[in-house]
Amino acid sequence: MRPNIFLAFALILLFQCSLLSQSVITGKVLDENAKALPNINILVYPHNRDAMIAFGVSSNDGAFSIRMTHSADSLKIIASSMHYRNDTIYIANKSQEITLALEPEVKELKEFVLKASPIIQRGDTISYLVSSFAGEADRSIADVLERMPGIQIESSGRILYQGDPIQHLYVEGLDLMGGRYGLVSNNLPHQSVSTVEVLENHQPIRILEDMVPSYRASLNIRLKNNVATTGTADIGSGLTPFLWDANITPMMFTRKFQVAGSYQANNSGNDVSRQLNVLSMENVRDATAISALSNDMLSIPNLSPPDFNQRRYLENNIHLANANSLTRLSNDLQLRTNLYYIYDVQQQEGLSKRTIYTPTDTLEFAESIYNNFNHHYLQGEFTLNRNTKDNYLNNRLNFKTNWDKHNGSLMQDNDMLNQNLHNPFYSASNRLVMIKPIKNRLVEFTTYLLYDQNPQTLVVSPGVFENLFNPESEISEIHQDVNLQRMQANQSISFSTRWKNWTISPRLGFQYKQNNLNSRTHFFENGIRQEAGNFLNQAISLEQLDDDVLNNTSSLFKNTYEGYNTRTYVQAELNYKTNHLSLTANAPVSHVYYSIEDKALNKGQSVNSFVVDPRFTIDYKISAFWRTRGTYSFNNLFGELEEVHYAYILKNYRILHLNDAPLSRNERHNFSAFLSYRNPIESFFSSINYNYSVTNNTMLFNTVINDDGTSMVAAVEVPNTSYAHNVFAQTSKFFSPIRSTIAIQAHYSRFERMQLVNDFSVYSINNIYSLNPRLSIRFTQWLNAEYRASFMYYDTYHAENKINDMSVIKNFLDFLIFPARNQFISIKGEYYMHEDKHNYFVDLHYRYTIRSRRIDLEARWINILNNSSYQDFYVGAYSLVENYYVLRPTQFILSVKFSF
Amino acid sequence: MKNTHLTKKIIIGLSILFICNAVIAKSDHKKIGEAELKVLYTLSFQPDSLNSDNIITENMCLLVGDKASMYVSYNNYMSITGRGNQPVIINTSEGIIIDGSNFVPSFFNYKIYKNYPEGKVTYTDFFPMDFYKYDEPMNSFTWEFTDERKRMGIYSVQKAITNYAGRTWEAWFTPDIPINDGPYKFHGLPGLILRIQDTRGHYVFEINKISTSEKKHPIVFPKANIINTDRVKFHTVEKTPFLGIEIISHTPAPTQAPSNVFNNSLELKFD
Repeated sequence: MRPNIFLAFALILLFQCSLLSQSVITGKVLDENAKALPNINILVYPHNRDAMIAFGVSSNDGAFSIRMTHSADSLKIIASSMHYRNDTIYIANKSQEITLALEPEVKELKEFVLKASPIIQRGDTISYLVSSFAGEADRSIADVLERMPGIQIESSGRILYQGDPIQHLYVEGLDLMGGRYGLVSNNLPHQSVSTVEVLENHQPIRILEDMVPSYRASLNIRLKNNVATTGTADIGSGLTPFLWDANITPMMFTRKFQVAGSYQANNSGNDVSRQLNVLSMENVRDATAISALSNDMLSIPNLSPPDFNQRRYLENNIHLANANSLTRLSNDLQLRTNLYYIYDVQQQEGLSKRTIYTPTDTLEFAESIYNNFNHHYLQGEFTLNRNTKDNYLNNRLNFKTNWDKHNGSLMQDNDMLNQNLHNPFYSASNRLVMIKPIKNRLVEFTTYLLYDQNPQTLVVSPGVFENLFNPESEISEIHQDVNLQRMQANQSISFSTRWKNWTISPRLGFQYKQNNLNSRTHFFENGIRQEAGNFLNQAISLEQLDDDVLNNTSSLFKNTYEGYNTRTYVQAELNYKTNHLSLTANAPVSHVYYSIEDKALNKGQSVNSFVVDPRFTIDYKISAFWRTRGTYSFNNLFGELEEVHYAYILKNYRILHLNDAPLSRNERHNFSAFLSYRNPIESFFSSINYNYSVTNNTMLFNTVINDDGTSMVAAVEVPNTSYAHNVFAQTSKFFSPIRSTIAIQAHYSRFERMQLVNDFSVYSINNIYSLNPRLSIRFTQWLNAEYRASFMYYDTYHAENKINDMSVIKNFLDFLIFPARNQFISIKGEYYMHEDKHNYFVDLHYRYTIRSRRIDLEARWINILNNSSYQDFYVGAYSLVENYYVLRPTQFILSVKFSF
Repeated sequence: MKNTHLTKKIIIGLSILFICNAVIAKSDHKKIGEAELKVLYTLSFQPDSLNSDNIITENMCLLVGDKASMYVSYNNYMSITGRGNQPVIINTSEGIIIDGSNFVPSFFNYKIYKNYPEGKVTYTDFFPMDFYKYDEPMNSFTWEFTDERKRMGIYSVQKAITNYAGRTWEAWFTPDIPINDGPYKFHGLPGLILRIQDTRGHYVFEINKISTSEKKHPIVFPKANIINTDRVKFHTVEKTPFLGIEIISHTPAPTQAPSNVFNNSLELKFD
């Protein structure tokens, strides 16, 4: 009803008032002892009618006063409240004073349910009968889900229940696809589904059900028949050259066994193997538990890929096959199998210019690079899961193997250099997690076992470091063989307990790690194989080489070492929390033991030490908007076993590496301070973070750079200290009149450290300054725009002397347009300025969805301006690298996605 | 609403970095009373005033105590009062547990207290990382009685009309339950409001269930750190699409049309 109608209504009432009698009924409500009763409803009805016309509520002294206008001759007055019996009296319709006396009576309200819902709710489970929600045009279960109350589906396929994303989509209690459930919901025909169950407050780990509350829901799909099959396909093609992009995913569901597979192939620069790298939360932990070592001790120097849309530069030809299955075994056990096979050929072409600043000289090298990478990869993962009320068990067995073969050609001053790398890799690992309740406390056991083997061979031709090998004639090839075997076992046990404002979570663990490294270098001279080693001593001047080693020079290129390392630790985190203040203290105590021995070289070392790595954090909420946090930590950082090798290894054609020194042991003090201002009501957020670390190092690496750009790196025991400062500030504000958010980030870093170059020590200082403004505008519901820029400046000092500086500007402008609910257009423009070089890029992406048939048509036009190369810079402590990366030509791809 | 919902996603992202204190947990509330009666309402609302196909429903809960009452979304109530034992956050390798247990799946984080403090209707809401509140006087609704009557379940109800926040509201109340309360801020009729909706049908509150269990449900109020604001400022900000969202540098641009347009706040105008 609009206000003006109301006004008219009110006027009519007013007019009628003069004709009607107005009366005021006043009075008191008392109990049986004549005590005044407050909060009693006094209801006024016309006599013989049931529609109330006025009411009053008794005040603290039991008094009430009701003014009303009605034509009735007499009135019915009812006194009503929860704790007294209703009292009804009849009076004449005239102003008067009455007294109501009430008798106590507790009103029993009946449990009341308004209407039986078509949705059945039992405890925390709600069931929807699919057939009663399905419409005629609906095809998939997602179409039907969208009609069910409380369920929404975003256009990305994500399912929301009561506005929040669901945790899991189960089919008959089995979660086959994990987070990629959209494949199931968008393709499973609704005719094969009988009911959908919403599991509210669903805790996926059943043993935690009564311990850790969950507020998120999951869906379970119950099948009508025994088998349901479905699938999806995405097929695209384009120019230039001839491009393809295909993805076919068939699926099958039964009550006890479910399977989904996919085959994906393209040559359009889409690296689908990245699917393997998507880390779930649990994987992140595994990854940090294992040393961060890359498996490749040997490599072919490659051009670092540009930091933008991969489809502009990646020359690939990839085939990926993937199969996943989930089986329900007996004894509440589920077995999940995931298999991946990848075959990928990638090419890389470009030019790299290196400038090296030695204490005595500045050297420049330029080389053109052509690399060909051949990846061949197979991975299998078998997960056994038991999830019952009193037992949680998850065991994951993983096999990985690859047979990579890479080769690269280099052109340096008209000299051609070829490199061949063969680095197969075999690995097996097993991770077991168990959670058991012990005396009302949950205790978690974790065991991790790993074995891997990485026999690698690098062949460089013609030979490099020739003067070292002292050949009688030219060396045609150098072979470097490395075989690294690693074994690792980690065990831990942990639980949590809480007392008032304190929480304590102790963890006890043991880690064991063993490495075996065998390596040797040999070369071919006139087609004859020679062991490396007979070189002239004066060619290198590294004092740390022992005399007996020099006498037996062949051992300088032969590693046969065995190393192992154990770490036993106890850690307990202590937390104290109040409304304003939170304190955390953590001081893991570890016993660390390292042993490394190279029997052939008669060298070795061991480390045996107790260390404490304390960490304190204080978090204080100063006021509603201001908050501050401070952290101090001290860490003992030991080197990795792989770091040490007593003989040389040719890591790549230009680096010969030796680490004949004690295992590095660094001590780092780290301080950080954080201050923030957050005001959501004003949409204004600001924060500043400062971090300072001081590291006492035991080791330095001496890099001896030869005139031809090759270098020999050797570890030297020189105590030194390095410093790092980091300041990061940001602020953002939303301006509602212009529907825009403006954000600015500023960043400054400074690194100071000692370097050893050509036996000279150099104190290097790197400064990095950056400023990143960002503006996002929502012009309308269908047009959003975003502009981002990044201004960066780097400089490097050797002691007081500035040796180089550089500035980079990047600009991004994106338009996102939604002309209709089924269409999407994105236009991306990028502009890069490095020194005086300019690069412009424009990409276009259009999608049209035929909703009724669930078909997506997509067009992508990438690198519209047809840039042929991209230039990038990298700054090191004593070097500057300038890369030119050859890009893909402009490409246009049309694709169609449909389900079957 | 849409905004608080988005904000929550951001917290989920942040919480992975530092298992944060932005949790609305039991410890953030104090008990101010006990409810003798729990009334459940189903709220159906249309977030986009131009799209009547998209209706969101949520269960809401009115807890009526001796002196004061609390109106809160059902899920929100479950999380702030803690179901079962005291929540224990365990650092298991299944990170999801830590993540999932901390968040409240409700479109509505607000709570409305009637007669707390005495004579006031207090509105509180949570945006990370704080609670906000404003209050209005009790009994400020002017109700017009009509003589329309009908039955809802076992109760006979009568219709009354009021204007509030730029909408006209039609309420059905029953004198048979002499509790002068209702969903949202609505109160002051001589009996419980069983159904109330605005005349355009954008917000419909309908009773679902009345339960009178032996168990007393606590009425809780956020502890300390409440920022005072006022009704106009609060609801104006609530309508802005970027409310409470801090731009984080790596936020990717959306590639999908926004499916949930929220342009239809319950409170449209402030007189």
